[in-house]
Amino acid sequence: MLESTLTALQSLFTLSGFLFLWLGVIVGLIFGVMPGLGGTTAIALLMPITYSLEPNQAMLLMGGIMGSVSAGGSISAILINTPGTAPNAATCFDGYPLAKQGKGGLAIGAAAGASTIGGLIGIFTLIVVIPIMKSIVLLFGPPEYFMLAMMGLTAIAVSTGGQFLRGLIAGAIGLILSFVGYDAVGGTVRFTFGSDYLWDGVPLVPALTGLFALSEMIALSVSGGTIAEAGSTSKITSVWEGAWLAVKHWRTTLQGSIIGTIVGAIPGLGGTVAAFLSYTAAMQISKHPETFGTGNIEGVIGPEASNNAKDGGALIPTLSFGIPGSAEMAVFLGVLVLHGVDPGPMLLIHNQGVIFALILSLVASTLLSNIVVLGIAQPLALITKLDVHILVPVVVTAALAGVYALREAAGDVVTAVVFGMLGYVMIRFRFPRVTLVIALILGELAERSFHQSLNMADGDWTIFFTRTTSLVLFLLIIGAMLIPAVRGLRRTPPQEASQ
Amino acid sequence: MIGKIYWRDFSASLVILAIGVIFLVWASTYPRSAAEVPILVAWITIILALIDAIAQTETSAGRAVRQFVSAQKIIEWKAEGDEVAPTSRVLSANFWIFAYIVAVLLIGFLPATAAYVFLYMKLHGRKSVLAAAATAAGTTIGIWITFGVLFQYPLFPGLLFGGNL
Repeated sequence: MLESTLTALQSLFTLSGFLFLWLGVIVGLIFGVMPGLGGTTAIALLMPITYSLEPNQAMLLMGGIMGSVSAGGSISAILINTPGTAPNAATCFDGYPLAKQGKGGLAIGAAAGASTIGGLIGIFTLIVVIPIMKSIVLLFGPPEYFMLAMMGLTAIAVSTGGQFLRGLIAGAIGLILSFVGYDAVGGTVRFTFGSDYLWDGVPLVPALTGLFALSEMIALSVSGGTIAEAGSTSKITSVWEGAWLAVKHWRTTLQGSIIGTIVGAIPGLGGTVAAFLSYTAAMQISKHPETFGTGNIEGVIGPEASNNAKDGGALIPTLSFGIPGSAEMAVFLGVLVLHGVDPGPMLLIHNQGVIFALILSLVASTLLSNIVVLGIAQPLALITKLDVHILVPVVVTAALAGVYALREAAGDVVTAVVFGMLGYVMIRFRFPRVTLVIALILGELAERSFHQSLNMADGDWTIFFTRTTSLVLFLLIIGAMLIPAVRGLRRTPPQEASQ
Repeated sequence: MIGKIYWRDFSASLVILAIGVIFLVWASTYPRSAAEVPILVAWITIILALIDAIAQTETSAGRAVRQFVSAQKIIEWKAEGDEVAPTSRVLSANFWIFAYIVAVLLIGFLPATAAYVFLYMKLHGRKSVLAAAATAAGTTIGIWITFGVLFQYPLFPGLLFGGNL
């Protein structure tokens, strides 16, 4: 192991190794910032380039991308409410309100700090867990997936505060939208209006871009002025203050990192689910849950810690079994195979050097990309002071170009605009968009796991409560639902309670 | 007796109710396994919409519902509320996005981007011709360099110039 680590270090500390790492970091940051693109596209784009490289160099390039995409995505999520990548969507909820208060630098700093810590925890877990991964993955079957989806949906109950009912309605609309396309169990095509385009369901990236970026641009276009509200200030020290806050709120950071690593390691769930679960969990342990959505820094720290930690987690099944934990990992698997690396239990025996080069590059890129982000955060935060009549057309055109580029489907552009207008209507009528998004993401998983579980148990619904992991998750859901209520009861003064 | 009705939000509840009913009828046309969960969600939507509609009335039931399911604290949209925005401005903001998407579909990304940025800034944002032209040129060139040159993604050429949906 020591020899492999030294070989990996040697490949990093060469001019070419360092350049490939930097190239990966820069490409990752750019693809992260650009709405609609993301890590999968970046890895797919650079995969042919790696063919002529040594395996260690290829790992440095790929590790550079993987470690930096989410850092880039947090910038656009915070400053212009446009998630650079889908998992960054949860960062918008509190990051953007902070930017509107003139605290964009603080939010980016906190995101970078949490992202660094989360990334390192994810990688550390990867190193520790690879040998014992099989037994952990086998703990999760359909009933556990269903409970995980339900856990995400409990965010509906706790994240909407005073608008509980409209939050539930938005969640129901999100579930309805998630049913569009193939029924995952029987294969029936449903609710597509006869359009082939909708057979695979509502495409997530255009929907997210529309709901967050375009709807916000419409709202800004109506209101005029600047993103940062008049009188708000952006202190020069805010960026580093933000990074420090990730350490200060260590419970939120650690919790987000653990959720990101675990959820990232479960094939089929992915970073978006991890980020939303982290957001919900951060709210539940916060001393001020009522301020979530209005600019609570913990609402940035939780999802961002999870975002970077998920890469380490997602690599666990990818390397241990050759089962990609996400689309990004599926493409990365192609890179491994291209270089003659066969993922599986024998990987650490036959290709230890390559794996350590990858781990090392992930550590280095996590640090490098977040240092870059911290360095450029302050000038970037000035975007929030820009006249919206300049910002709006630039963001709208760039976002829609990114949405189109992802799949080269003109229908995606139309979808983004439709969701943009839907998002704006939701803002006007006080329906929270967060609950719609959570339900849209988790709806398919919940329905599929529900049917699979009942099929496994011949229709006996007690299967959800008779398996230990599933039962533990169920109890966590009940706890999650009760915590805000109990906290509210404890805090409500007697005279208010009687009103 | 029904007291005062908050028509704006009441009508939103009715729209949701209609969506729920239409979805229920539609879901019922599919085989059992494909329809089971959607039908359940449709009923939940209908019930929630009815409760929301009741909450928009100034009746004892409406007040009771409001007390249980809504409060003064509004979270996500608190800083975004623009309910007092003039309708003409709302329509104008939506029109510009709609016009851009139509232009993209007809003449393609690059010409549509240049035209949209220039016209939006000049007519909606009331910026100078120079500022509008410079931003339009910068944005269009930026998109072309980023997507077309650096990453070599073909940008939609427009239906009039050979693009397919």
